[in-house]
Amino acid sequence: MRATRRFWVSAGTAASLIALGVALARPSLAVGGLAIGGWLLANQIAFVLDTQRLLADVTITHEVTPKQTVESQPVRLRTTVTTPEGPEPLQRVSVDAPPGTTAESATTSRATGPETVVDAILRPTVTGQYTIAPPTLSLGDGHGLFEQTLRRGQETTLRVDPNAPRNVHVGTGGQRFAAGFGDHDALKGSSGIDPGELRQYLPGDPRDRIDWKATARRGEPHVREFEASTDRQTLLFVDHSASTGQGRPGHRRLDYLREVAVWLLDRARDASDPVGLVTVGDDGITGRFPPATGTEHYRRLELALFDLEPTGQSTAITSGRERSQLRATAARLDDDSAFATTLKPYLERATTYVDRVGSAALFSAVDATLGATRGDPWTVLLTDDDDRSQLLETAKYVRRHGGYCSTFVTPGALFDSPGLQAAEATYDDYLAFETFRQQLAGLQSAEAYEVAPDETIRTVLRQRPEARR
Amino acid sequence: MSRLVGLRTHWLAALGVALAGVGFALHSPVGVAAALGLALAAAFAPAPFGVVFGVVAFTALFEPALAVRQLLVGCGLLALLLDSAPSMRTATGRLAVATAAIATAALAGGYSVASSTGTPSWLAAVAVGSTIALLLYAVHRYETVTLGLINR
Repeated sequence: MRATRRFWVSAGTAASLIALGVALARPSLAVGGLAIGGWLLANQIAFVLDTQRLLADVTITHEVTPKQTVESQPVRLRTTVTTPEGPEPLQRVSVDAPPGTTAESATTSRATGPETVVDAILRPTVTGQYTIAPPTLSLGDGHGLFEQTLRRGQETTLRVDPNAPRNVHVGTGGQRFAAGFGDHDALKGSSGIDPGELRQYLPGDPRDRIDWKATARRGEPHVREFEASTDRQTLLFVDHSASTGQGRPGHRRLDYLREVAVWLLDRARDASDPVGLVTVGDDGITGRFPPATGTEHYRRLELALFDLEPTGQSTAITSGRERSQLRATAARLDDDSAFATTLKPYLERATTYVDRVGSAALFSAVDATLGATRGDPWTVLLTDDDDRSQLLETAKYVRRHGGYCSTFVTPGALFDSPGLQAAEATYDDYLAFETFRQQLAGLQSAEAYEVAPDETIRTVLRQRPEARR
Repeated sequence: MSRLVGLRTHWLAALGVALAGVGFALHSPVGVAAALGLALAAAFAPAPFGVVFGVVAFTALFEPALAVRQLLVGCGLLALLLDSAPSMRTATGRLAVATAAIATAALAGGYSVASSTGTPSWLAAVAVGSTIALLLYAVHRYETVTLGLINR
């Protein structure tokens, strides 16, 4: 219980009256002070008893719906406080938005009747498991002398998953492909310079292979194997043109392509392979990272991948902060001078292009990049199937260039709004895509995979005639 | 806060102000002014402050003499205070008022006995004030314990 300012003023007045009564030898003043002291006591006792009665009778429900959501999707936190014998001394009910969420509606409600409802909309911005504290009941007496805040009810939990593809299907003809894609260990025996495992000396092993230190330690002749290491240069071409924005937020084609690209990057990092990245928008190359190794380089590629947004919607390589700075600068160029007129269009553009090539951006990007790259890198194209002829030509070009080409394609049919009624039509579209994919995979030194939401491809494949039977 | 807005809900306060006003007015023309002042204080200030005004005026005008009109003023001020006491319609309100009334009466009696037995009045006043403060704190602790609000 907290005594308010009004309580202290009243108590001070009562004490002053008693003191004055003594000082002036006027008992009536002291009696007046005593009466006010008694009045305060009566109100305090009544407040305590009312609080106990209220807490004995109150019913509290405190629920969040849905209990599981994804990042940035709002949830409803509904708290109902029912006081059958009236709300007094309950004044307000409030709920707390846990850290990592933002409240988009009022989190406090005044108690005016037997039922007080707080209907709060929370938007989680951070992934994780949230514990939402019980609601806070604010109590007070009718004269504003005493206050009390209490937490009552049960805490509730909310699970927030990342707003990103969780179950990515990568495969061919509806079949997931096995793990191991991209492996290229060269454990070919004893050639090479990288030290490998120790093993016992066997007749026929050259004497100069004997590891004398190991032999001395173990008491028996041992030889050390040496492994050859290969560094396969990998070039990732990630298409983030406007068409890759198809799909619901967090589950767009680009989000799936990004998942695959990050996975490929991880595998290359594990093998310490040099990796390059070229990001391609509608009008050309938006970012170019020549093949290299090293933690910093891999990290830079990863950040570039995470920053990608479909062109036409947001900047690709330019970071959000830089974009806002550019726009702020553009806004300041509000005069009609030649300087402002010339500069403004460049600053206002959401996307910055390293190399603008116009139509057939992916082909041109591959052409320009492979032409400037030594050796025969493993070329990985991550794109959609909206321009199939361009994609086919690009894969053929890679083959002509002498490199190995892997293509990961997000079929448009599997990113339209899902619906069981449309599944049959989607299956027909998927069949057409599969024909195209097989054509692509049929090229020499080429392979092609579909990338799609796993649940969608399962739904579509249920429309197969054999599955229906 | 107005005590006189809505005579139906605050009829007791209105009755108290009327009684006290009559008592003041019967005293002298200055008493009429005191009655008006009391009405204003009761209308625009919380109950304790109206009572404080009345007690001060009462002391200035009447002490040490005693008469019927003084009784009127005293009863009126008591009524004004009772109007803002917890509602007597509920069990908790009745229990609270009864407990506080008994405690206050006991303290007033103790103060009176102490004064008549020659105990210094300041000592009696300190004892009364301390006892009220102790009672208020005891109720506060009682609430803290019964509601489980003690942080270990």
